[in-house]
Amino acid sequence: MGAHETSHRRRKRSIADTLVEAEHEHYLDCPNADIPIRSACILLDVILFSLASSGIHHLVETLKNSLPVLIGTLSQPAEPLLILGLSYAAWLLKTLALFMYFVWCTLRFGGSPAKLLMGLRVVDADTGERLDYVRALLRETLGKGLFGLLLINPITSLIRSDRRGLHDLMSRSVVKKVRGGM
Amino acid sequence: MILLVPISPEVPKAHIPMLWPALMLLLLLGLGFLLGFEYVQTDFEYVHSLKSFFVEDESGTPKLTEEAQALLKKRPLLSIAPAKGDWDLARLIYANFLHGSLPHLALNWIGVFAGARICTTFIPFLCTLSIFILGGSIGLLVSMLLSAETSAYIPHIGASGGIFALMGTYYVYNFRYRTRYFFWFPSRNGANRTIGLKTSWFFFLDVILLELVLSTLQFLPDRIDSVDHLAHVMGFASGVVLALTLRFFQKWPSFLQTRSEFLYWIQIDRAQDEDLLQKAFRCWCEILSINPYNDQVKLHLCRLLERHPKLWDSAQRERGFAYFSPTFVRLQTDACARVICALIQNQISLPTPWLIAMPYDSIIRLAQSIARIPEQQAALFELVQGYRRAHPEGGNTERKLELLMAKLSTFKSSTPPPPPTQSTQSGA
Repeated sequence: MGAHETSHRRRKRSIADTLVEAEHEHYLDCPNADIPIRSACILLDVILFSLASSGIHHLVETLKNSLPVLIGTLSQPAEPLLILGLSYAAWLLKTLALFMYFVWCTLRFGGSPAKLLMGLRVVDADTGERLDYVRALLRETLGKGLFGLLLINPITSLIRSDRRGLHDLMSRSVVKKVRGGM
Repeated sequence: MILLVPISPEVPKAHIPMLWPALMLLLLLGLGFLLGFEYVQTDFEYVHSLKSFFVEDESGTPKLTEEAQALLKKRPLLSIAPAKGDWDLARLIYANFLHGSLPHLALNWIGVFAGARICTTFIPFLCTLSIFILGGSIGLLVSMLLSAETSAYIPHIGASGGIFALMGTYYVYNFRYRTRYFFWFPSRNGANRTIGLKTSWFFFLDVILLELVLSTLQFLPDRIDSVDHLAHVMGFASGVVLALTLRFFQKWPSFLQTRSEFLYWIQIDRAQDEDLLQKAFRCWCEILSINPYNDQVKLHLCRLLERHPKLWDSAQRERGFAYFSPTFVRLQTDACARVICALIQNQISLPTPWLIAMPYDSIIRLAQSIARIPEQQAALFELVQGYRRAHPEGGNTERKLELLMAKLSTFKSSTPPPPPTQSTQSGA
């Protein structure tokens, strides 16, 4: 009963809320992003992410190579274990970077860094708001990862007049061109 | 692997880097290669003939016999190139122009061309050349003395230390600004596009971070490649130090981006015959007319307009606001919002041409910044009303503004009134 009462006790609406709402309404009025610019974003995202990924890879490789010098005093069986640990750490770091780059950026800023640079925003197709955690995760992992590899997303985008791919449809999102970009 | 290629600092077309200093440096490298080619070839054959002197230790790692060490002392390349056990200043400087092979030269040509070209926006050719030679030589020397190598008679050659010194110079001069990267994608007008990214973090990430990691390997005897990463990092560091020293002696203020702005800056008449604030305003505007991309000067202009809102006539305000482009508003929203608040609180209207040119989302962004401080919320209503008045054409923007005004009017009664003002000035 108490929980029911709490749900009715809404926070007082502020000017900031009104302005955020106006921003969301503006996003809905913006044109949908076209295929060439979205393709360019994918390419730029790959470039930017590969920079971060190769940085992690080289860091771990350097550590692996210098391990015999760094742990010279350790016993022999510890070395392969450490190398294995470093390989897992590299895998973990790369997954974390992938998550931060695509999911967290979409959640926090409304798009991956390349999309933000090009003036695109991923918004809710009905309200213009930023996506919530579950939808951002669904869009960027299952939607993009699986259906992107199977080429379902580009085909859906080409067929539909609103240029929404399957990953957009499953997360009820749309990519809007909010400014000139770059 | 660098997939995004830095092509120039973000400057207007008139200041785009020149080609001739880069071509001159390419020519010097080509000449150095031709003059040293005979030595390089003889040296290659000589070292090849010493292969039989390599022996393997218990772990299978190849080692040099003492006899081979003595023979390596007589390498032909050591007569023109430096090594840890045998070097002098002349050979150290000449090593910047020597290359081991044509692919080595070709790769460094690309780097030198890019490095020398991007530096021309800031410094004259002689300074570029000096930094290339000095920075490169320091990089080679440090790498030569610190690297763990199998022999003290391995020559260190190549222009890469100098290239990184030029990159360090560029990093210092363009630190607070942005770099244009080449990035092609199909667009409706078919033009190639560039992308502007912050120099401070992206150039560093793109160029140096990987080198820092790889250079640490050079302290170990088992190296993963024959590239002199330590010379790269030390070249970059010495380029940074040399550029900072040059800037100090030039008295180059950190808010100037291009050489043209600096040349204007040093010829400004600093006599006290004009009102100081008026002179400052004129100077900022003139620098911005030379380089409208300079956001640091725009911030100075913002502060001037904010601190002395009543000092400027409508034409001056219009001139100043003309530089506050949508991109600048997006990047420096708070600074712009402070100027707007200062003007509105003094009952000075905002320049109409600026309001007309501003997109709706920039106004919302500014309004969000203003709304953070409750005392300034009266200015927020004025801003939106001013924007509404400047856009009487109807259509979608008008509909959105009407809706926004209706929503905001519900808050208006609860906000404190603006402070009383002594004088009122008419807007543009």
